[in-house]
Amino acid sequence: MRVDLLVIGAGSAGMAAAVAAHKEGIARILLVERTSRPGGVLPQCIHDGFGLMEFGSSLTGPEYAARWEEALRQEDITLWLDATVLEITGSSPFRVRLADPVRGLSTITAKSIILATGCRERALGQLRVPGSRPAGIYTAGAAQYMMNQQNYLPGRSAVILGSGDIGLIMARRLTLEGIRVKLILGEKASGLIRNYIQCIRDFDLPIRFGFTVLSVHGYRRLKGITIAPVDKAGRPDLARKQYIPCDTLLIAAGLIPETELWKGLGRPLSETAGIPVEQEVRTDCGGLFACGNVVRIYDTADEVSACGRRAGEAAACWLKKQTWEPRAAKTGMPPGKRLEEGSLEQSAQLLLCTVCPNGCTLRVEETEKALRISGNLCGQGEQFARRELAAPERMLTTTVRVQNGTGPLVPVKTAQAIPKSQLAQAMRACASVNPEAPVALGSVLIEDIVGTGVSLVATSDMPRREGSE
Amino acid sequence: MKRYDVIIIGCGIIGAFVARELSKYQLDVLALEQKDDVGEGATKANSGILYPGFHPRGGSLKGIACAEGNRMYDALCPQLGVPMKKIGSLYVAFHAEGEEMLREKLQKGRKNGTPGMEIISGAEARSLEPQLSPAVRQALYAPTTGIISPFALILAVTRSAQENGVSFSFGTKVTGLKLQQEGATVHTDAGSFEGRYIVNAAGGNAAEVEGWLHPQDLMIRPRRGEYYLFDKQGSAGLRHVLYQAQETDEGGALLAPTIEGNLIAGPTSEDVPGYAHVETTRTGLARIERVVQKLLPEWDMGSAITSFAGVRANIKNLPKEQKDFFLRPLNGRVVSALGIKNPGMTAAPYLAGRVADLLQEQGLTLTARDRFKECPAQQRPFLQETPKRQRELFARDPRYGRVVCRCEGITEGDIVAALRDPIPPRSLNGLKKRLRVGMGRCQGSFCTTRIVEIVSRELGCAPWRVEKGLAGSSLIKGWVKP
Repeated sequence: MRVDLLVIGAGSAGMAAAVAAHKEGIARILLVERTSRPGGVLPQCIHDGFGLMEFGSSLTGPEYAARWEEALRQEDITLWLDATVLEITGSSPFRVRLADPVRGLSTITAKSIILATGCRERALGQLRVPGSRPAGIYTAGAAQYMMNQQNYLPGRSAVILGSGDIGLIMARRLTLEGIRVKLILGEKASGLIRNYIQCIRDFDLPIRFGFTVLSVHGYRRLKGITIAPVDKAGRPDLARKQYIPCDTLLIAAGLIPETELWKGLGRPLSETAGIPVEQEVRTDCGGLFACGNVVRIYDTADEVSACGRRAGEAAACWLKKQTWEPRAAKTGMPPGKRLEEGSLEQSAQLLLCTVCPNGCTLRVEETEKALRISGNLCGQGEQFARRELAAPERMLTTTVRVQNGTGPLVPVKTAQAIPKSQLAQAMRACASVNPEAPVALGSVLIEDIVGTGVSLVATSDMPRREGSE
Repeated sequence: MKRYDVIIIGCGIIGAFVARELSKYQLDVLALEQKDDVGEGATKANSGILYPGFHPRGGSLKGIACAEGNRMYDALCPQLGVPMKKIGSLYVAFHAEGEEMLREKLQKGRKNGTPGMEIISGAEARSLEPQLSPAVRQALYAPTTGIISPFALILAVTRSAQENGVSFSFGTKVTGLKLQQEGATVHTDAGSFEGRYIVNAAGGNAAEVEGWLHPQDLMIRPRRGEYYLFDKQGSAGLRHVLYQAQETDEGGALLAPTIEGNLIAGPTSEDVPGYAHVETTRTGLARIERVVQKLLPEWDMGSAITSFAGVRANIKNLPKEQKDFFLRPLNGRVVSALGIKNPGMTAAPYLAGRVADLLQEQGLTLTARDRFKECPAQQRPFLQETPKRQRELFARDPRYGRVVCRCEGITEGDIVAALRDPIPPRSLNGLKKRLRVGMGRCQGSFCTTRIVEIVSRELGCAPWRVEKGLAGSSLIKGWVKP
């Protein structure tokens, strides 16, 4: 098979790249994805907060993926699933060897390639943590896949190493599903304030900065971990070590660009361990482009898609032998403020406005006479703050068991925010429904969840399993 | 009750090679293993090196068996279909005392029959191994040092023994041994077995097994070795096995490329209370790090992908100059292998031959079988197969096209096939041994839970029945949404 453009990886970057290149007039595009559905990591990211920049609204991961899938369909882009690229050789036209369950082993000849292979998670071994090697230690993303797509319960009491966004989001997810989060550990404060408020403070979860895992214990299943504070040079203070019993340890300690195909071409990595590029997407190998987390680790999926789009345009120009001038980045909503050292104590008085995608961080000061609210861009922010103080509301994102679906779970969300005090009750309601596949994205699964007047909707399609009656 | 000609206790590398050796003769052989897989003791966490034979005392069984065994692998590996490379080693000295040790090792090696050794200058050593520390003054070069996968090896040896008629019983713990008039009864937690002859290859428990027959004279205690494993480095990797003359108390850690292209560093050496103590420690890992940095000052410790530890059987109650491998006949019915540790894997094919000799000396008749199949059926992952074989396999099962473990290039079809192996894996660690799934740079963070799903579907069991290793090591605790 011969193509003009091969896009490797159908996640946030690759889907945007393929769509952009097609819009620029490149007809023969092949997009390949190693998992069974497009979206890369998005289908397992069932929480919301995606799409603020790209679509101007807060979507869940599966919904964000669905928007791009729709764009792929409209552009009529060929997508191969369960297809793993094994090796790239030569220069343009490249020869690409890949494996998939439809064609077996095949070779593609591609005039140009966009590498959109994303990243992998740093595992315990790379952190060089000593101890035994029992079951119960997972990367946060692996646990997220287990819980949100496989319906597998990873454990009953967990410690999370890493206080970045992935760690915080998993802390909430575990808590909502009844797994006890005993501690979240981080070397330093990081992650979005939004996530800190909605994942940690909402559930009153214990979080400690400046700590690391000294050792893991247990020969069969994890029994516990030993932690200790670290000084500025990263040396642990052994005198203050502490044992924490738990059966699960989630590692949320950073991401590494998945650069194997690039390295296979015998090429070096950048200082940030990614593929070195000029103008964000162009490698020094003619016709070979890279975008998204394989270049460097981006903060949000929206930024990754924007980068993918630029790669698609750059590849299209290269194929058309035109010079490519990157367009100014699309302006959209900022993803929100990050937690910084020292901001943690203050954040007790910080609120995050969820009225619109602006997501203003509101500062509340109590004076003798009244509450003074600042940081809001509009009047709704002040109303929100008063409501938040009196009766806070949250969007609930979780899953529902499906019968006869291609997967066991469909991701769901409340169509609007519901009272925070009713989250646990709403979780129980979600456990009590068991819809029959197929389930369509947006379909209402509970009309009025726990008397809030808000409906529970599916955030992804769930096709019916073949052969089920 | 059926009476076997020989019952082998223990299926580590020694038991496996003895089983294969005896399968060449017209004998009914049974091998018993307490764990649920082959090579779960000292064989499991092993440096993967075929030593040249200059370390052990000159003329000792250990030294001769090592040098002889090393030679035997040249013919064995092609027969068994196990990849092996004789890459050579550099035993380096940083000081004058070390240089003296090099000469001693050269003498020992000559006595043991190690071929081709040569003392070379630091500059010559660095021309062979460019990353080697500039502080190295001299090196003992030994061309016959090899690298091999201990897992691939023991599986191929066991498979070969099985194809030639040896019976295996895993998860069978021997609880007692009693001599009878013409043989012995082996009591286990799965019933009793009768054998005319017994081979004791119980590794760490070998002295205990002997203790059922006469008072124990050798005291065997667990000694732990910790390792670091580094990511595959491609052409930037190490070319030789490196170790250093131990002038200070730095432990005998070595650095070596693995047959798969990773770099392994270790082991440390520390007495521990029990064979279950396979955890790594801060001090142990720090010690290995020092050795790595001393030998290869530019090495990036950040490319470590995991650390692990193994426990070997160490004879505790003998002075250093008397320590050796012990192969000895007992009561005319038993042949015991004791204190086999490093370089036990290198020595194993030679030791297995000696065990057969000792059995013969005790009266066992060894009549060659008509059809000894030297080469066991080859089992290679789909992506490493020939194009013709790939087409056949894919036509039979399209799941060979779905790559599950990207790091090691293993497909769903490979996993399904491995589950149907004549010696099937009983856990994810068993699959790892057979296919290397989850052993790569991502350490299973992508594939492990997908493999649980495949195994649970193929074996028709709940996902929480799929275990990582030992019983009780399940990864899944239940359904999130029942």
